[in-house]
Amino acid sequence: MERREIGIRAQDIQTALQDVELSGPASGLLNTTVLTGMAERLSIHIRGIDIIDDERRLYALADRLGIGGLVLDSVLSLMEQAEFVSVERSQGKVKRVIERVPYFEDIYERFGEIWEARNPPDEEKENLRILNELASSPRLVEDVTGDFPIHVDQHRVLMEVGKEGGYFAEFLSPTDGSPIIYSPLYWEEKPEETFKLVKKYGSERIATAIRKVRAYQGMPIPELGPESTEDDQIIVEAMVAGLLPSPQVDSLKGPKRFAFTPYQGQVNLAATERPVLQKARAILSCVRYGQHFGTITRVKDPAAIIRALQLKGRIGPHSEVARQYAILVVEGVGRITRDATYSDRYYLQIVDTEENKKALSIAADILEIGEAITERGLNVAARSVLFRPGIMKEPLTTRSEELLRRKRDPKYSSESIKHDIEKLIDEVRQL
Amino acid sequence: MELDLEIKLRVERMLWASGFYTRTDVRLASAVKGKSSNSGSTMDLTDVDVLGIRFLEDLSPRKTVVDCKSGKNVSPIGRAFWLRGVMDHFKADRGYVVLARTIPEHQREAAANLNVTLLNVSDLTTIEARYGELSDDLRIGKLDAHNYLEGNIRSLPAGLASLVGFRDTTYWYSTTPRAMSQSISLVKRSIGGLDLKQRFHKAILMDVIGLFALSSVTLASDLMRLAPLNLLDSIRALFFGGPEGIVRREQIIRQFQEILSKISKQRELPLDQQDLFQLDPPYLAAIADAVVRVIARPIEAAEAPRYLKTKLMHGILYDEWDLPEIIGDSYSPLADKIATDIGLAFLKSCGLGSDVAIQLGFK
Repeated sequence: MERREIGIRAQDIQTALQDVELSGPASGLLNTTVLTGMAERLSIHIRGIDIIDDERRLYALADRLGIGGLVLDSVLSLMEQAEFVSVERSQGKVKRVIERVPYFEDIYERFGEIWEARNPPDEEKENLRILNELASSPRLVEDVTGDFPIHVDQHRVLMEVGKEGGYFAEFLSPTDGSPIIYSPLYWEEKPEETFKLVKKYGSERIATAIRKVRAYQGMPIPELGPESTEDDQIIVEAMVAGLLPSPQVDSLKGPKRFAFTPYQGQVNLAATERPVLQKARAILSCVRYGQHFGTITRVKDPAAIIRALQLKGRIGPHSEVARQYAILVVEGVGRITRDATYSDRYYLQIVDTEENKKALSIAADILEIGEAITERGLNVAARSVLFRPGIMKEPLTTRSEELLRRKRDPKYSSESIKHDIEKLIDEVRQL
Repeated sequence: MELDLEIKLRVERMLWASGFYTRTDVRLASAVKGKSSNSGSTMDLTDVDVLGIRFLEDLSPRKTVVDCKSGKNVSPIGRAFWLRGVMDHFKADRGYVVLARTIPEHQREAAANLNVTLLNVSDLTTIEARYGELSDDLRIGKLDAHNYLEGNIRSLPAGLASLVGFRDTTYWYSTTPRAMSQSISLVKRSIGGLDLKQRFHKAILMDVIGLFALSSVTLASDLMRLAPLNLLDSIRALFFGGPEGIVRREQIIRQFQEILSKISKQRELPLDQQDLFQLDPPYLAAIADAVVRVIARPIEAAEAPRYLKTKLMHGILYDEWDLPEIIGDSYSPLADKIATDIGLAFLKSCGLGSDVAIQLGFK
């Protein structure tokens, strides 16, 4: 698991378990994970405060995040380890907290690193691993094989704790009664459709296809044809089965659908919250339409459009706005107004409500998570595939030629080459 | 004591008392054609005796330059015209010429039209009185502290010469983003020569951090004027000369990477290390973090360079670290915190860890 994933899952677990008492066999079972999640949530909440010297307010805030007074000091210590706070203590009590939570660096990566460094027991590792697997796809229980050697009883306790917290859930196959496990955090509760898909393709292949969508939320649904891949097939079938929310946008290039993973962001999303998520997906779908199917000008930076909507409350004028963003009028997110000078151009004006602001913020989050994952994928996989074969690694010459070449070649240490490249690029930056 | 220096230090204290961050003996130079910009390839043009920089509540900078001459044969109005040119160069809005001679009244008026005030030593005493006397314990503008620092900085080993050149000269003719990148690059390249057990190695590092803070506040000021939708994007744009500059630089790096990939002689090129070929330097996020904090607390952040200079003149030079005691009633924990944030962002950008932060009094 990547460190960033560890950090995110730890926060999800802590949020889910906030109101669950871990006692009996579950007591102390997920200490590192829960503590990490607490530190992440507290970090996010205090970012920008600079100095907290009112101890009571700190305790009150922590309490609302499910961080009891007894564990607050441990949570702060973990944040100190991340170098996100400095804590001044007096007679064992927190006197002042100096906050340094970064705005532009990935706090989940850092906490994931600390979680790893603390080397939690195998139970915690297994718990996180299972949740991470289920983030991509539900699985047959028999397929959830343990990577870590934990006792079957402990495995059962993990499952029970997860179910209690609402991040694990199980249903039985309607046909043969096989148990399927999924996470309501990341997957819609549709037993029959899920089962059919799992049976047809197997959870691994589904997971691969869904990861693609997770890495690029609002992915245009591919049109199936002779050249379609199996991933395309799975995504389309999951959409038809209603497992992947896929809002439709209709503009000059015709109707298009955009796929999202059913990520809900929190356990047991309240009925009143669901429309907000639906609005967020609708917003991102409209922006993706402009990005992939815009005719006059294509959107280059979808995040910039969402930021403009957040900060200015409107975008435009543009001739495609009226059709491209029409679903946002239906969803109650915005209004379309005609430009006073050019009658064929329109503005999208956000209806200023708390719900719409929240929807925009969720849209930005969904986009950000998708982009971050996409970029990592590109760096590690695509690039190395492009450059390594033929040029770097493959033996292009006979052995003797190879030896001769080696003899002639200047051989610098990779460190010194790296140093030279760094220096050169630094110069480019300073042009 | 040299009379020029005595006047300079009095002016420095006067400016400090009125809220300015101060420098003495700032050299004006220009880069010399045909040489690398990072190897002391500059030609001195002139120097400024005292420079004061102060940020207003909205972080707009106010700059004052001062020329101090103790000679009797100096032409007051001649110096005023010269200083006007220097003011334009620094974008300073105020200038002072301080002389140890009488000043003809008509020359005072002519100079005032240039926004330059001609002062003799007794005028200086009057102005000093307006801003109140600084505590005698404050080491800013004190002769012994000044000489202690400057004398030892001049004796630093050759490996640190680029840092000395930067604080004396290069910084002052560089644009804000360039000065920030250069300060980080130069410190990174000097790490091997820095021995932080040595007091004056720490001193040069802290002085560079003070200049970095000055640039951070200036960058924040530029950003506040832009009121950007996305701060990180705007910082990138400022760093790399706008969207066209970003595209141009990215193209150069891509081409460079492409050319490298075709070189077969060297068999182990780090072509798969994508982070190596990024235009965005790894420290951009840390700088952006520091700038966000400056923008969020402009009044306190405006003081950050002064707090860092106080840490240098007291903490680093004399092991006096009790800032509330040194600064007195006007001490602000928030300003101290933001100064520390900027310092930590700088160290992080240079790849220096918490051990260095502790040695510089940041923890």
